[in-house]
Amino acid sequence: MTEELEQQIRAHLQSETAALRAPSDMWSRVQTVIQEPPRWRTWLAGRQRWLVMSGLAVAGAIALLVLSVVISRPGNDEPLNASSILARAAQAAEDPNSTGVDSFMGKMTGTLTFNIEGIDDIEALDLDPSDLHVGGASEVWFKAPDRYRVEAEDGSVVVFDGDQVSQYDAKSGTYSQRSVEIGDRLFFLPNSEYLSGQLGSPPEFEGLAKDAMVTAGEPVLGRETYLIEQTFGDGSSRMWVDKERFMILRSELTATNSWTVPGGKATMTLDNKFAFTSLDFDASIDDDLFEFTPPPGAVERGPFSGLPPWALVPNPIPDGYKLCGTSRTDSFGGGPLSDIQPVYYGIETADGGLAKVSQRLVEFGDADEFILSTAGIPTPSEPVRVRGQEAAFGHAGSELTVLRWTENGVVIRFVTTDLSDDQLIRLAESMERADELPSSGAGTDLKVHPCEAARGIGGTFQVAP
Amino acid sequence: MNAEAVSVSRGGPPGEATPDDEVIARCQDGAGEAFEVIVRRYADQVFGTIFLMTHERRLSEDLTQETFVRAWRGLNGFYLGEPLRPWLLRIAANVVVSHRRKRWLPFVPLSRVDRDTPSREPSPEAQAEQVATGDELQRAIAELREDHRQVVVLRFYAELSVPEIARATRWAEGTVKSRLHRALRRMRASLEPPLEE
Repeated sequence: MTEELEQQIRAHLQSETAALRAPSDMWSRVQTVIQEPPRWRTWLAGRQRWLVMSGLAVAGAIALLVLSVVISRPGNDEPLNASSILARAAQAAEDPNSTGVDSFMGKMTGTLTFNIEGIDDIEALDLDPSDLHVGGASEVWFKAPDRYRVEAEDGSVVVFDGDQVSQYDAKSGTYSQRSVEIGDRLFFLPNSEYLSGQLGSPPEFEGLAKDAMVTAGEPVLGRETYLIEQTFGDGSSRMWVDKERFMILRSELTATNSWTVPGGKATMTLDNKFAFTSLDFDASIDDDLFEFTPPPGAVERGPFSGLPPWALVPNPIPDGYKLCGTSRTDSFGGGPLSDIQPVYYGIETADGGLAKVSQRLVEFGDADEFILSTAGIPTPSEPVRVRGQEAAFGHAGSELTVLRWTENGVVIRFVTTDLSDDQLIRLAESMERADELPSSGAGTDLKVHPCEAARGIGGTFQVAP
Repeated sequence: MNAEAVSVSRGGPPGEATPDDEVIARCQDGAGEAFEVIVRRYADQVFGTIFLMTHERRLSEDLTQETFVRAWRGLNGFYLGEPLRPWLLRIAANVVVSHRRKRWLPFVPLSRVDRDTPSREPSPEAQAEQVATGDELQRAIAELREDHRQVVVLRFYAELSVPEIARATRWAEGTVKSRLHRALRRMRASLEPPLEE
């Protein structure tokens, strides 16, 4: 029946398109565009390193649920070198069933530590030293084809039942549920891409992986492993990959980034460790585990519930734009709001254009200068008045614009690659306090549209597809 | 999809036409005009796939253009010897996915397909097979959830493998399999005659 149905579907779809022809001028249309240089590539090149670091920082803070980028996957019949092992490890992290895992349950631990040298007074950076080291344990259950449950030790829960992903944040007592959309990639396990800090495109990833060494590693939890050792730029990583199931059982990563600060040079070293402490393949797991029930008293998260009450959000959204969501990263450690509070919005043109705005709200101080000093962000110096306040524009060529002002002790900064000065000012003038907006955000102008721009893990800057 | 198109997808066109690999090698050497061969060879298949996923003719034209632009920009990463057709259709699917996420497109069910399209004369073979199932199939496909319908198009029209669909949609292979399984199960249930009491 299945084969017959599949044949019928094929025949039907082919008949649907039998007389369809692409426009005869398709080549000239394509030719017109490909003669233009891709403007994003040059802009991104000098910033990729920073994207990697910020991506790691945020990824470490939010632990296990990340959206990531595509890497290539060689077929299973390719010879096993470091590149193919890493690719299969990435695949297994995303889809354990692809390497023959029908179910598993296990416990994981992870730590992420930042060491900053060259700056005498860490507190002057508005960084709480306690935020520079984070770690925790979690339990994970998986059942083929794609159901997951992850419980963190603080009681936070993520459940994917194959259709919906549900998240409960114990710290805030809030939960959210949403359907998985085409284009989403949910990771419940660290993948090699994340662990090795490679957020680059497939050719770059493969190029780096070619330099990796693969040897027989010591057993982890009694399972035989490949040990993959890589160096990249100013960092290195070691990963122990299960020889049979290709899941990453343990990893260690060190990366260093240096930049110029007033009075000298600062160096940040990142250490990231991950390990399974128990792992039981083909375990018998009750289906009920993959059903999410909000804990008593939990409140469903609204579109602005992640924001501090004093945060300003655009209202209404200027004509031609959509609010793509709100997102917040706490200071490095993922702790309570205290020091650095970037909040960014993806705002997209209604016609599907490329507009993106990143908004950073930073408590008064120079912390933002420190954080972004190597990112090539221009220092705003062209005076303008916004919301009755002294404000300033900064322009980096025609590609990047910054608008910055201070209001009620909060530095507000827009960074955009697509909006004009006038559009930025209109956006700024429209802003209202989050705690004075309808908590549901259900107003017509405040409707939050799911779109990619607000979902990046290091998402201050989003790259156009 | 015509017979020549199918044979092209398996490594090159019949007869004296230049094989895909040879054309791509010229493109990779910087011969931009060679890309015209690729566009002309695969435009209809790319367009058909995108049309089945969006059912908007104008949009399909734009996304077909974008597919080839992305393909051109990614050609240097294409490994000679790999089949070109699934690579192109993966890009096409990815372009649709990206566009849908950007615009939050309301996808139009097949029953409301934009009829501003050329008249469709199914092949005799397709007509024969459709006598019994055409309307029901159309309804069954139209009733599918949007993500299920797209997976069905990518699997049974674009003929992408499960791993290829996974790469295009950024879903895990297990997720693709489960959606395909669920889509077929729902179609079967929809096509089965109601039980008589």
